[in-house]
Amino acid sequence: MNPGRMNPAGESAPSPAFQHRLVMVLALVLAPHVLHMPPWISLLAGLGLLWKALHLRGLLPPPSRLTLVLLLGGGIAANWLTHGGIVGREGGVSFLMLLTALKLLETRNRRDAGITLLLGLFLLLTLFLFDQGPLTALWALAAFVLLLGLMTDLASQREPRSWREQLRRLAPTLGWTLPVALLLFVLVPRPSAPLFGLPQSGQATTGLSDELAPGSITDLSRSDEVAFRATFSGAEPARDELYWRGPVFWHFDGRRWTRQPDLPRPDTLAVQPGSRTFAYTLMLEPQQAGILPALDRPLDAPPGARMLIDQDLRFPHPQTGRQLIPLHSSPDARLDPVLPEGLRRQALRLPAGENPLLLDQGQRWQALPPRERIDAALRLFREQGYRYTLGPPALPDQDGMDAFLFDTRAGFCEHYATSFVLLMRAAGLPARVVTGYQGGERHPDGYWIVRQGDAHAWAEVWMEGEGWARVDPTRAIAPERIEQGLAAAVPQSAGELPAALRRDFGFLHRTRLQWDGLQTRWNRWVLGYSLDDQRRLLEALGWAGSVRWGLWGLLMIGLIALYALGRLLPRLLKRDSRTRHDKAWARFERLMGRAGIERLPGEGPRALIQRMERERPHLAPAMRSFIESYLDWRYAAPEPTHEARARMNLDALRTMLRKGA
Amino acid sequence: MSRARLHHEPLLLPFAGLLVVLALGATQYANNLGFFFTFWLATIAAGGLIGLRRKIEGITCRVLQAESGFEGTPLQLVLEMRTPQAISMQLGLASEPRQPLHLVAGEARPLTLGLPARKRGVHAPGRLLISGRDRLGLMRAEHERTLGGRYWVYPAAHGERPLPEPAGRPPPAGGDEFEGIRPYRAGDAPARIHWKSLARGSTLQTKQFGGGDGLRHGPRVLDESRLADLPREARLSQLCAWVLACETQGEPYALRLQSGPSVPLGQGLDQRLRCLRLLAEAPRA
Repeated sequence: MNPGRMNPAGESAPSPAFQHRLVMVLALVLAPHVLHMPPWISLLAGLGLLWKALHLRGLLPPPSRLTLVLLLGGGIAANWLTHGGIVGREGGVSFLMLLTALKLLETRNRRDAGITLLLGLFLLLTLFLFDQGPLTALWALAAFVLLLGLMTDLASQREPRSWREQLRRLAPTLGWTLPVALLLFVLVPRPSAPLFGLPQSGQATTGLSDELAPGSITDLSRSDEVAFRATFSGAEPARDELYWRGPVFWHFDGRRWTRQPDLPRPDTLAVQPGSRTFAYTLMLEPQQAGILPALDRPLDAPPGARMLIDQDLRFPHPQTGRQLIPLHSSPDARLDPVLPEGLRRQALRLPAGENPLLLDQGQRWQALPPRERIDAALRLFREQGYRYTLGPPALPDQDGMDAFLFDTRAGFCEHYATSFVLLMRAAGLPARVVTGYQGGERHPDGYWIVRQGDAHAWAEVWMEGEGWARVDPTRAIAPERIEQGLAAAVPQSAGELPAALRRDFGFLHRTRLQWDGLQTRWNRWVLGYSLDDQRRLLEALGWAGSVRWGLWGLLMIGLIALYALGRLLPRLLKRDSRTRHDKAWARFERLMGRAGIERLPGEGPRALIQRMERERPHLAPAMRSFIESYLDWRYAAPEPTHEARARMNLDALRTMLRKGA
Repeated sequence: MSRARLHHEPLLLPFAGLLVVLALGATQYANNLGFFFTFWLATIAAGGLIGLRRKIEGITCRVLQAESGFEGTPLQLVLEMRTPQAISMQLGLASEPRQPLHLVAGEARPLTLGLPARKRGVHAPGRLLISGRDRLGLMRAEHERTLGGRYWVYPAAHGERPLPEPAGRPPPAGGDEFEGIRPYRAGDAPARIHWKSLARGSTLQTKQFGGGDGLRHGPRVLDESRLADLPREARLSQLCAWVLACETQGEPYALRLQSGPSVPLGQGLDQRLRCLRLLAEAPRA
C-alpha cells in the first residue's frame, strides 16, 4: 500500500513515487515556457525542480521555511525589476513559474500536492498566451492529461501507475468529456472585446512600426515570421501588383521618418475605385501597433478599423488575437486628385540644412514636367551603379542621404525610398514614403503568405490632376525584387535571408508550405473561431434572433442531446450477450481450423477436449482453459469476469498457436 | 436508506478559483485554446461531481463473516464489496481507521477489515463508513451503512487451575467398548477417526464406543462454583481455558455457571461454541 505516513483521518501523505512523478510532469509544463520567458526565471524554476528531485532521492535536505521565503522575496523583487510587477502577461507568468516551483519544494501533504497541481494547470494554460500553434497545443494536451492523471491518483490515493495505464484509466473520462467540451467551445458565446481595457503588452512581435529609420526594414527582412495571410475571392492581382499598404510617412528629420497624427480620412476625400477591384480576406497575425496592411489601395475600412487621411488602415488598439478581415482594394484607384494646401506643404518639406548635394540634384530637375522628374531620378538609380543589398554600409548622421546617393550607392528599399522622396521634394513634387509589404508567397492551397521578410518601402508622388502615384525606386535597381521576391534580388550565399524566403531547399520548402497549410487551417478554424463564426453558424441553422440567446439555447439542446446519446449508446452497443458468446466460439473454431482441428459432427465442447487430450496433448491445456471459462460464461451466473476470463484464455490460445506456427 | 452526505475537500475552492481565472484570462486575451482547455477541465470536474453521490450510494456491501474470538485477539470482518462503476474509496468501521479500496466495475471483491477491540460479549459490527472522492478530489461523499451480523468476544482463555476431575468413578483403562461407526462430524477427536474405512475409500467415519454419552465414567462438569475464590472475570477466563482443554483432549464436558445457566454434557464444535457464547454473554459482576 502507500508507504507515506498516515494522518489521523487515515489519509497518507503523497508518496515519494508520486512526488517524483509530480516533478517530471511539472518539468514538462515548464519546458516550453523557457522559450518565452527571461532566462533567469526559467533557471530559478528549473533549480527549484532539481532541488526537489534531489531531495526526494535523499541527496539534499528540504529547504527551510526561511529559504523559501527568501527565494520568494528575491523572485518577486527580480520580477518587479524585469517586468514592473505581476500584472500583465510576462510579469504574471514569471510569478506563476516561481510560485509553482516553490510550492513544489514545500509540498509535504496531500493539500500541498493538490495546490501544486492546480498551479501546474494554470501555468500550463498560460502557455497559450505566447503561442497557440498546433505543436504547442499537442504538448499542452499531453501535459494536461498527465496533470489530470496525477490529480486522480491524489484523489484516490493510489500510487502513480505507468503512463500507459494512467492513460488507459483516464481515457473513458477524457472520451466522454471531449464532445461536451467541444460543444461548449463551439457554442459558448465569445466575448467581442477584452474585459479590462487593453492588455498590457501585445505579443512581442516584429513588424512594421510607426517610425522608419535606416535599417528598420532591413531588420524585418531577416524575419520569416508570418505577418498575415490573404485569400482572394475571384481574380487575383499579379505578383508585381501585390503592394500591401502600411504606415505612410511624411516627416523626415534627417535620420528617421515619422507619421502624420492619426487623422481620419474625411468623407469629402472619397477614394474613386479604378477599373479593377479585388475582394479578399486577410488573416492578420497579432501585432502591436494596430497596423492593418491592405492591398494598395484599400477602398474602405473594415468594421473596427478606420482609414486615415493618407489611406492607411488602422485599428484603434493593438491586435492581440488573429482575426479575419474582409477587405476590398483597387490598385488603380485614384487618390486625392486635389491635395489640400496644408498637406501639400507637408509633402514638400525637407530637413533644414542637410544633404546639400541631394537638394542641388533635385532642384536641377524642377524645370522638367512632373513625369520626367520622376524618370530622371529613376534613371539616376538605374544608371549610376547603385546596388541593392541587405547589408548596406553605415551612413553618417549628418548628410546621410548625400553619402548614400553620391558615395556608398548601396542600400535597401528604405534608402532608395527615402532618397527618392527627398529628391522629388527638392524637385518640387509633393512626395511621401509608404511602408508595407511587397509580394508574398502563393500557397498551393490558394492563399498568399506574407512574411515580415516581405516588408518593403516605396514612394508616392503627387501630380496635378492624377493624384498620388506609386513609384517604387527599388524596382529601378532590382526589378527581380518586385517580380520574384527578395530571394531573387540578394545574393543567397550571404546567409542574410531567412530560411522561409530562400528558394534553394526544395524539399524543405515544400514541407514548410504543407505545414503552413495546416497552420492556416488551424488558425482559421481553431484560433480564429469567433463570435462572427458563431453568428454564421446560427444563420445557417435559420436562426435570426439574438446571437447570444440563440447560442445558449443551442448549447442546451446540444447538451441534452449528448446526455441522451450517452445514456443510449451503451445500451445500443451492448448487443445480446448470446451473439457475443457465439462470436467468441466462432473465433475459437476459426483458430482451431487454422491449427487443423475440426469438430466432429455432434461433438460437444467437453468431448472435443477429451479427444484433443489424446490427439494434441500440447494444445489441450490451453484449449481446456478456454472451454471451461467459456462454459462458465455461457451457462453459469452472468458474471462479467467470466466473459473477461474466456476472452483472455482465447487470446492466450491464439498467441500459443502463433508461436507454434 | 439514508443518502450520502457531500463534503467539500480543501481543493474545491482553489479549483473553482482557477476555473474563474482561466475563463477571465481566455476572455481577456481572446484565447481560443485557453477557452477550450478551460471548458474541458470544467466538464471533467462537473462530470465527476454530478455522479459522485449516486456512485457511492450504488456500492453494495454484504457481511461475509464477522469473526468471533477471544478478548484481546484481533478479530476480522470480511465484507463483499461490489460496485456498478469503478471507484476508489476509503472505508472503515465507525471510529476505526479507514483503508483505501479500489474497485473495478461489476467485480465482487472480498475485503477484510479489523473489528474494533471489544470487551467480552455479543456485538454487532456496527456502521461502515464509505467515503469516496470525485476524480479530481474536489468533493467527498460519505455514506454510512449499518452492517448486519453479530460476533462474540469470548473471555480471554487463561487460568492456572487443573481441569476438574470427572464426577464419580474414573473409567477403567481401555474399558471403552467399540460399538460401531457413524459419519464424521467436525470436531471429532482425531483419535476416534476410523482410519480403516477411510483407507477403503469410504468417507470419513468416527468410531463410537459403548456408553458414548460418557456418563458411565462420570461427566466432567466445568462448574463456576469451584472457582469461588477467584474474581468473576478470572473465573470466566479459567472456564474458557477449561473448555478449550477439554476440546483438545476430546472429552465430553458440561458447563455450569453460578448464576444458573448451564450447557449439558456434550462435545465437539457445537458444544464448544455454546459454552464459549454462554461465557461471553455471562452478565458482569
